[in-house]
Amino acid sequence: MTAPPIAEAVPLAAPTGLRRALGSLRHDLPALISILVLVLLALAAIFAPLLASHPPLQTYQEGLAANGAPIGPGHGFPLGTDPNGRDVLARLLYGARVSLTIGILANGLATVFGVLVGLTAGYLGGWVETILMRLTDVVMSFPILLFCIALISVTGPSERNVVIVIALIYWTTLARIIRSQVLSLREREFVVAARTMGLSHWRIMRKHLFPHLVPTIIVYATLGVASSILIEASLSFLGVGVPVPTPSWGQMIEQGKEYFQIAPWLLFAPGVCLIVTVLAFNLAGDWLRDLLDPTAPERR
Amino acid sequence: MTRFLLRRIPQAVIVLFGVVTLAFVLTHVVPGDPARLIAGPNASVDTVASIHHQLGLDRSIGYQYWRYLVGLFHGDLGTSYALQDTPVASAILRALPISAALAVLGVLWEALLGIPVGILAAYRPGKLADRVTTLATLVGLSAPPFWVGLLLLYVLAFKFNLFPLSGYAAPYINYLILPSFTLGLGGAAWYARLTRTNMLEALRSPYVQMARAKGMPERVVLLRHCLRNVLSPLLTMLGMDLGYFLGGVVVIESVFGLPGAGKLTFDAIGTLDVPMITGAVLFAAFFIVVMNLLVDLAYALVDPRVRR
Amino acid sequence: MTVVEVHDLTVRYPRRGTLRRTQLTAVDAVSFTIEAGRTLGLAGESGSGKSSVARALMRVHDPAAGSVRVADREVTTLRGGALRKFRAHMQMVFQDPYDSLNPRLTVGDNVAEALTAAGIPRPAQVARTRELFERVGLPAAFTGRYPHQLSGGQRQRVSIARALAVGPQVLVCDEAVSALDVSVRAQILNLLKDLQEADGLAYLFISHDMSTLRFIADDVAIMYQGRIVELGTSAEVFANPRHPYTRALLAAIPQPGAGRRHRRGVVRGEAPPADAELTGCAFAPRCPLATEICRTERPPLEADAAGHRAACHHADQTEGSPA
Repeated sequence: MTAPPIAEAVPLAAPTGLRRALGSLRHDLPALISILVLVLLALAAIFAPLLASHPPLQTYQEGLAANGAPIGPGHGFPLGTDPNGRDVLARLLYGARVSLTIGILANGLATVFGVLVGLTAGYLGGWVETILMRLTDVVMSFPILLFCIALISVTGPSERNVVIVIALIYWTTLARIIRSQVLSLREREFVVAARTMGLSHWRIMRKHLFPHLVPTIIVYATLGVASSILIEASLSFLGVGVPVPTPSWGQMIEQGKEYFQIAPWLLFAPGVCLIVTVLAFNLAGDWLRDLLDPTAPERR
Repeated sequence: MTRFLLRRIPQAVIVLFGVVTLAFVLTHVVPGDPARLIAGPNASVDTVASIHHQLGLDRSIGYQYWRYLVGLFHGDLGTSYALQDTPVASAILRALPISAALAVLGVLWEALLGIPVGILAAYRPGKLADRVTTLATLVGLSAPPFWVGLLLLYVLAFKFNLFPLSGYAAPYINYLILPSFTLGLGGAAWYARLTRTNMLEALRSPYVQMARAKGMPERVVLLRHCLRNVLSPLLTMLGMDLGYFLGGVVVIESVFGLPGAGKLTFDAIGTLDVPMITGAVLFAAFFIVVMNLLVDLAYALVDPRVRR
Repeated sequence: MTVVEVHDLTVRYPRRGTLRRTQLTAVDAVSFTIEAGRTLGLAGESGSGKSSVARALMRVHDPAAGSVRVADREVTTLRGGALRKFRAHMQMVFQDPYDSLNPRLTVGDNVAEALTAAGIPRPAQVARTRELFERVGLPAAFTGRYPHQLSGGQRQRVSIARALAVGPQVLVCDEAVSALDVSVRAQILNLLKDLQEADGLAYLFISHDMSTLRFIADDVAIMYQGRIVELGTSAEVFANPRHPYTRALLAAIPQPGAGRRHRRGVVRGEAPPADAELTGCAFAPRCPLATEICRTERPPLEADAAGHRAACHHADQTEGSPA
């Protein structure tokens, strides 16, 4: 009864604990920095009212030079003012709220769609799979940004619409990845066993398939936030994202672009924020991939 | 091969049909009244109603959809609301060469920057060159293109006067270099990463170890034995990118003021020019589907296993 | 009492063609019965269709034709809820002890999943799981462990506990001991025998290993290329094999003390691809006794006086005797 195992099969996913995660962070400086950056960003967004020296929507007479041009860093405005005489730092901090919230919500929703579609298609197969995967093909054939712009311009720009539109367009890659994983999981003996026991489809998907998809989902959800934030910024830059006057980094760049020859800080500040945030999410995602799911394919 | 085509072409047609339907539904079943926009804020209810009639918006959605499909079959994408009497198809076709030039140059940048950098990184993994390029590619992937474009404009066009600031005039190539570079940068970062990963994988494969064991110079191993296997998947991706770019790259065209298909669409969106929006989305989707098909076809020609 | 009655069971797998969908016939009109308290051993080399029989019986893959009756209920037409309810009658023990348990659940929860399927309320499941563990010879304390903390034999015991959880009349064991060490194998086989005696279970025991079958099976069916070529009591088949393929399989069993004199790998050549259009006997291309009739006419499965059946034109002839 206590005979040694003959051949150790590779476990589906090695047990992952917080300790292992922290241990691997010690050897991975970029990942460590990116996690710290993300924590700081989250804190900055949460405590924006405390950190900002001015309200983000207030326009200041003294924030504009005599000729009406924005003024540079200093002079009571740590990062200068925008063309409307508003404090750039305050807008950056409040913009972090908008960018992070939209990025996370949109991508969370997209992840839910992607997992639902991929899981049902892969598990049920047959005509359900055919319809769902053709739908995925169709959505994938859409020019993403163009389509987002078109959708938002007809529904009207609002934070809610930006979230919904990004989610509607961004679930496809995950759906395909989940489906292919389910296709191979479905043939595993423990899943076949669950079927022969007479468990319901729903329970099999929930207890016997889903837990094995979690590492993949975490990795792609993290990487997806980066993409979602970039799309939100692009939409806001084009004027079909977050409506004025709510500050968002993309929109701040859009408002600054007319003045970039005389007020380059209007470009640099939100641009650097965007790059750092997206980079941090990408690095964190890469780290999670190495940690949880080294076989996962790369995603654009 | 014929069999492959017989299976793959109907598939592409079905996807395109799905795209048409989805695009139509989403642009027609939405709040917002283009007639009201055309008539202006002070127009009477009657005027709006007559414009409605003119545009055919008073008919049922099913009927409008049917008319649209029939028109599409004859190569007619409808008439623009905003640019009076301009057929959508000809407006898009006029803007297309600019987008096409941008797309081709953009893909060239992707390949010319991305692949060599990837090879360089894979040459000595973990060494300085690898670390630097890895970080650079990550930054490239994380930078929003519109911001990169504005930055390039600020430095190269404004500060150093090397390129024109915006617009499109002869000599055209001057107006295309910065936009296409911006367009290609993100993709280049992606290809560098992929090339590196695939090269490293190829370097571990038995046939490469065999080549090394036979005493081939490292350069030959790298370029002759690895690159060939790394390149073919990249080529297909470049093909898909080309399809994606051909439909017009809104952000880049808008930053650099290029009057391409993307700009056209963007302007159409501002005026709720529904036929133009639908037409542009269809054009873009068409390029994506067709390039996908061509890429698959190329694969099938090269690799008989794909034909199944 | 006959618990399982399989009649002309046929299993096909679709193969993706370009225009024409072709099908591969994995099991071709197979019939057998299993009595309560008895074990039918199903033997054959890989690709012979043994596992397809199991999958069709368990309704993991729907059979293309034929009938399967379990406890006098037709199984092949069951759908949805009725199918789920029926599953309590027939359970399966899988081949790979490393893959057949959900690694994310404790082994106790793996068994409890089956209890959930059987509609046993959550509070009663803990006690029941412990009982089941004891029945299969595992300490009840093991319920909280994860599969990777158990040895192969222990895991296979959990698999058996899980199969027993819903109170089945039939147990399908698909290569259930093939992945185990020889010493562990004997323990598991003994456990299965004990359980059978206690509960009157009917076993369909699939194995490519003839010595395992000699130990566990009451009746033996030999499959070749999707068909049963020989079927009889274990004693008959092992003592007096009628089909040349069976004789070849038996000759391949290593005999203790036989040493080098023994000729191994008597079955020469490889089985033709399963999709090859065959007229006549599927074994003919490899058969030492094959004559013209073997290549043109398919031999029926015919019983001799003792009820021992074989599908061979030259049944009972041995190699070397004139054809």
